[in-house]
Order: sequence, then structure tokens, then C-alpha cells
Amino acid sequence: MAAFDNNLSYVPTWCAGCGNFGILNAWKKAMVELDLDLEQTVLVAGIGCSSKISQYVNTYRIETLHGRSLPVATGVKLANHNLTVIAEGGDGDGMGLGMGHFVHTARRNLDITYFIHNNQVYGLTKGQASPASDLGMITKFTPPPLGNMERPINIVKMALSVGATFVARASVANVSGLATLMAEAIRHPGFAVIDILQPCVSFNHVNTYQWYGQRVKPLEDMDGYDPANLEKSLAFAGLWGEQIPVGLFYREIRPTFNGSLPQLAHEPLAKQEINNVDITKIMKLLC
Amino acid sequence: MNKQFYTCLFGGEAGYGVMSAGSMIAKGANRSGLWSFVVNEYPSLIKGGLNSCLVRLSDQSLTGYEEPLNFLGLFSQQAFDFHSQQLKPGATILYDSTAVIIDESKVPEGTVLYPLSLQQYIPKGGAKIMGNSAMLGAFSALTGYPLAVLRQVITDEFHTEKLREQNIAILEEVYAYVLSTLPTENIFPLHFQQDASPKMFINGNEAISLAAIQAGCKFSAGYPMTPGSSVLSYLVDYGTDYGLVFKQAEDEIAAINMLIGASFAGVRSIGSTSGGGFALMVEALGFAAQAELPLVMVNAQRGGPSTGLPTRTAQADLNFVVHASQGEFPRIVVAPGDIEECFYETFRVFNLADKYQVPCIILTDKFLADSSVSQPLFDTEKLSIQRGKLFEPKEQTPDNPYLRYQLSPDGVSPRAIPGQIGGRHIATSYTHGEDGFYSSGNHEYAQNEPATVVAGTDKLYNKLSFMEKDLPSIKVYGPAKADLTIIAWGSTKGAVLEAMELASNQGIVINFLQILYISPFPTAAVELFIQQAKKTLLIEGNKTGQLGSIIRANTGYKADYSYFKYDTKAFVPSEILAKIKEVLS
Repeated sequence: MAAFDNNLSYVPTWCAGCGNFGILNAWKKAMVELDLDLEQTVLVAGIGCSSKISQYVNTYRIETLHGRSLPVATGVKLANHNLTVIAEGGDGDGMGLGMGHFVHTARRNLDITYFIHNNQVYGLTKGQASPASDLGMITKFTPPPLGNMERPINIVKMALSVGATFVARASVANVSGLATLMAEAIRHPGFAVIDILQPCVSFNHVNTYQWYGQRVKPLEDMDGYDPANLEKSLAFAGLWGEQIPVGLFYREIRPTFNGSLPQLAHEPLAKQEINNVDITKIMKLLC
Repeated sequence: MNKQFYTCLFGGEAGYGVMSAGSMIAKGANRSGLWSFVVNEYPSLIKGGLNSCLVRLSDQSLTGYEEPLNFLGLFSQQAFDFHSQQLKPGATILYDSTAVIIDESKVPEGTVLYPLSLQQYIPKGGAKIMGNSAMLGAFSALTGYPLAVLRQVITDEFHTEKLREQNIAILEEVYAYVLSTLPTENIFPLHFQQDASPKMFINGNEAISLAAIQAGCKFSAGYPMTPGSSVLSYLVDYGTDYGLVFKQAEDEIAAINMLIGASFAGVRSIGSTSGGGFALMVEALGFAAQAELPLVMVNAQRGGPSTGLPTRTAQADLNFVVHASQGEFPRIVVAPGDIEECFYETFRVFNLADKYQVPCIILTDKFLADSSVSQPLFDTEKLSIQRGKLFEPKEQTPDNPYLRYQLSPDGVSPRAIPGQIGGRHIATSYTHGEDGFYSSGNHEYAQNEPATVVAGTDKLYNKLSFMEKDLPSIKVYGPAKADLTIIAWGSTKGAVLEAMELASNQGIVINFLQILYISPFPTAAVELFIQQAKKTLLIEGNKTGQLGSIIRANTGYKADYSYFKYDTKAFVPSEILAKIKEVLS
């Protein structure tokens, strides 16, 4: 990378103290650790506070519609499977509008990485309930006395259930731990998901740094930890409350969608010659 | 010499091979120097319901169909009840005697009735669809359509030896039996040539798929929706050998976003759907426009709104596709009128999408998408691929940064493809400055937001005048001076052209303005042509005259007369002729 980088000329607009700063730092550390070629890397973001990370890093980037990062990432990866493709967005973007895409992207085990910044609230629209908000949470759209009445989505459990082949949770409070997991996720050949716990200092006054700090516990320290065992991983994934496990829940090597297509066995689609196509064969077939 | 026509129709429940019977007759005719136009009708049912296949044959090329029948082949009672009123005097009805009772009061006098128990010819364990080979054998004997031609088509159609032999055996047995019951051998009214030059049997969706493959399209994504999705199945069937990847998506929203992702990564991509699927895609259509990523999307119209009429034709999505999305941006909307335009204009819009970095919509309808006609092989010699302005890889420097959305006189900026050295940038759904950064994304930028937004919007619209020069937006048929000028779009073209011939035979002079590219609207060309028109008749397959409203919005002109049809059927020449006469009387 040149010392000058036109792609890094803007200063993040996140609130002071926002967890996204930690995620951005971990992200950069992961890139350095992997020594990724930035010209061969694409970040596909949704819309939301977290998705703004695409404005502050220096790979190729596409900032898509709210909730649609995964299908765009699918298109990028199928068009050029030599690229490293990272999708990124928030819990609202990914588990609200994006939920259908999440399920199907996991099923197809495309070789892409998905970082979900999970602050359990909508920040950019200034404080509404997210699909990951805890029961009873008071937000602009879920007022007292009831607060949020819908069970939160447990992203890790969800990812495990629908077939993601690398599933982890990390807290932004531990930037170097997060960076290591991010690098591992990018290395993983298949659909890799990290649920990144991230406080929102402006709109979530429940799930704070302190709240997470009291609950987060490394998986490696838990009895029976075995990231090769789906059933055990699902049991750990079910823990949310007094203890919130973080670390790698599950890893499995399964054929990837892009790796299974004969059309992608050699050159990526983007590199195929398109000037000398001859359709005479098909036209004759139709006669 | 006057055109000779022969029209037959096969009707029955789904599963009896109604459509394949019709298509084999048409294919055989195509190989023998004749021309065909085949219209399939079927309800949106999983099984059963009335399917019909109308085959119109002629000794000269055909652009449309008419309903009156020389021959009716019936597999079910419903088919008789529905189609008996279409018979011409002296027509022949061949019917499955185990399934159909003919009410003779409902058929014209002199109709030849031929009952036959079709199922008895099917070997034990054979599928009921083989009944159509029995139908074809009897058709051949009753009409004089050459048996050898059908034998050859069946031989080519079946890829397993056993099925081929069984079907040919049925064909020949029934042919011999029926012939033995007839007093004299029949002679088919159209002349079959041997060694005729080859013609394809092809529908609009196939033509679009072929053009996409020819244009170097390597990626498609979609979700099934009749009548758009057969483009996708043809791409799977024919495109896979050419390295094309098709991804079935979880919904249409995912599909179009996958196309946008592939386009960003530098691959030509196409999607195809119908109105309901297109409705789901609309937000992403605007995203492609905002991010200036090439996109080619087919909307094969069916009746709407909502689930509407899944398998019936309509032309009521025009206003929708021309305006779809919040905000404003230029787009290309082309409405091919026939198979050739489906092919050549699809090829052209792939080039235009790259050249102008805009979304392009190919607007067809069920009738064009699904009707198969005889078509000489496309001439691909002169077709060349143009990718538009692409970024040349080079190291970036502080003095010369790469700006993805650099302002330029023609509104188009060089596009970098991920993987290129020095081309790193952000493509975005936000309104942005030249570097792709959101126009109110930070303090420094926000101060300039009004100017940034005006410059960016003007940039998009600067493309328009260049686009207009590149588009063959209108086509004009007939003499410069005419009693009546017809204005129409899309698949209505074929019926209008034949109606013009009919009118001309009766001394009525008609000309025809086909609006092929509806967005950007060719205001100047349309104004110029309309100024010279004596009277105008607007013909559209919708209730409200949607093209008419677009013409009026752009030129202030209101057509003198209108003929709108929204009864699930395509236009036919004889009805257009009747309207012409009514208007001129």
C-alpha cells in the first residue's frame, strides 16, 4: 500500500465512544495480519452506522442497500471467485431486512465472510428496537411499560442452525481477540460469521460496555468446549444472560457453492474472454 | 401471390402433449420452406386445465396469428367446448373418442368429424403423453401433412432409442389405419420443399437468452415467475456450456442485488422476471442507477396488478417500468416487437448498459415471450462487444487519484473493476461526490452538499443527449403519406404489420409508428412524424393507454383514436383491420 491513500481521506462520523471504532481497528489489524492484497479484496456493506465502515477502509468497496449486502456479495464472489469478499453490517440490517438472505447464504456455503456489528438497537435512525434487542427493552418504537415484546434473535444460534461453517462471537472490548477471529474467519473456506458485540453509547443504555464486561466469558474456558461438534456448539450458543460465551463456536469444512461449480473451475467469470462467442451451435439446435 | 394460410389447434389437459404436438408440426413446416407462428395458452394450474397450442402455417413469413381454424385436435371435452366456435367452414375435428362428445349443433355444417381412441395405441406402461404421437399420425393422414416430415422431427426430438421407436411406431400405425378409412388421400394445402434453408423455431425469451450469451453475459440470477423465467431456464440450458453461471435466488430482491454485485465485479449480467418480481426489484434498480453499474433486466409482462394473470398477456407495466424507483435517473427501456428485435436489441442494450452505466429494461409480454415463430439464423457477424469507458490500471498518486464518479461532458466516468491495480474505490447507493463518498458524510463534504448533488445529478442527465443519438428509438413502416397512422409498441407490432397488408389489399393506406425505445423518450422524432399524420390510432394492450400518456406528457399530442385491449388475448390483424375501417368510416 502506498503511503498516500486516497481511499482513507475521511474521518468516521460515529459517536465518541462508539463500538464501531474498535471494530474498525480490529478490521485493520486483521488485514495486516493476513497481509491481504487490498486490490483483490472487496468489502460489501449494507446501510446503518456499522455499514459506514465501508467509507473508512481502503479495499474495493460497495455500499449497498439496507439489508442487501449478502446477495451483492454473492454476485461479486460468483463473478470473481479469486477476490476476498467480506460482507458487513449491523444487527438490524442483517437480521431484519437481511434475514432471508442470511439464511440462504449460509445454506449455500459461499466462500465469503460476514461481520455483524451487533449493538441490539437501530442507531442511524436514532434508537428503535432491533431484531436483536432484549425482551423488555425500551426504545422509540417500543415504549414503556411493555418495551420490546419480541424474543431477540440469537445470531450465533441462527447461524449454526442454517448451516454457516464458521461461527464465532466476539466482543469489541477485546480488539486483538476480535482481530484474530476476523483473520481466521477470512481464512475459512466457506461462509464465516462473526457476531460482534458492540455497545451503542447513544441509544442502548442497557447493553453497555459494563453490562457485557460482566457477562462475556471465553468459550475455551468452558467445560466440554468442542468447536467441531455442532450439538455442543448449539448448546453453548443457547447461553445468553448471566453468561455470554465468546470465541469460536463451530468450524466445519464443507464444499463451498463457488467451489462446486464447474464453470468456476478455472478462470473467474470476470476474466473470461467474451469477444468470440459463437452461438451457431444453439441456433442449429433450434432448427 | 397471395399468402396461403393453414391454422390448426390442439387442445386438452396439461400432460397430454398438446404443446409438443403443435411444436412438432411447426418445426416440420419450418424445415420444409414454410413459416409458422405458434401461440400457446395455458392456465396457471399445476395439473390439468385447458392447454391449447395454435399453429398457423403459411408459405410466406408470418408476424401474427388469427383464430379461425382449419383443423382442431381435441384431447378433452373442455377443449371442444372452448374452441368449437373457432372453426372455419369445412374444417376437420379429430377427437379422442374416449374423452370427447361432439355436439354437432355447435359446429359449422360440413365440418369433418373424425373420432379416434388415442389411448389404445399407447403401449402398456407408456405415458399418456404418447397419445400425441397418435394424434399426429391421424393429423398427417387427415390433412396430407407429410408423414416423413413428422417422422424426422420425432426422430430428432427423442433422445432415447426406446421412446423414439415407440413414438414412431404409434405415429405410423395410426397414420396407416386412418388413411385406410379415408375414401381418398388428402393433399396439404401448402407446398413442402425439400432441402429448404434452415429456420429456427424460437420464442422471444429464447431470442433474448441467445443474445445475452452472444453478448458475453456470464451471470444471471433470478426467481421463477411466469412468463419471465423461461429466459433463465434457457440460459441454464444453453448458457452453461458457454461458462455462464445462473444462481437461483431466495427472492427477486436477492436476484437483482446479485446481478448488481456481479456487474460491480465486471461481469455482464441479466435477470428476467414479470411485473410482480420487477416490483420487488425496484429499490435495487435505483441502486444500480445511483452506483452507475450496468444492469440488464427483462420484464415479461403478464396481467396485473398483484398475482394477476400469471399466464396471460398484457401491456400494462409500461408506466411502471419507465418510472419505477424513488428519485430521478436516466434509464433505457426497450420494447421489442418481434423475435429479431428480442435478439438484436438485447445485444444492443448490453453494450448500452456498459457504455452509459445505466439500468436497461427489456419490456416484453407473455405473447412475445412465449409464442414461437420461424426465424432464419441470426446474423452475428456484425455484432461487436463494446464495454464502454473502463479504467486503465495504474498506481494512484496524490496528484492523480482515481475518481470513480469523475465529472465528464458525457456524464460517463471510467469504471474500475475489483482486482485492478489503482482502481480501489467505493461504489455506493448514497448520493455522492466524484470519489463516491456520501455527499453529507462528513463536515468538509457536507458544506458542499448542494453543489455536489447538483453536479452529480447533472452528470447522470448529461448522458441523455448522447444516449438518444445511439438509440434506434422509432421505426416507421408504410408510405410517408397515409389515410391513418397507427402508433403502437411491443408485441402489437406483428398484428399491426399484417393488418396493414390486409388494409392495403382493400385500398386503405396505413402507416405505422413503432416506438421501440420508450425511455429516454424520442420526443423530437415522434413530434416530427406525428406532425405529418392525418389521423392517428393508438393501439395498446392495456386499459388506460399508457404509451399515449407518455406521448402526451412529452409532446402534448393526443392520438385521435384508440384501440385498447385487456382481455388476456394478444391483438389479431383482422380485429385491427376492423378498427381501422371503423375509424375511417
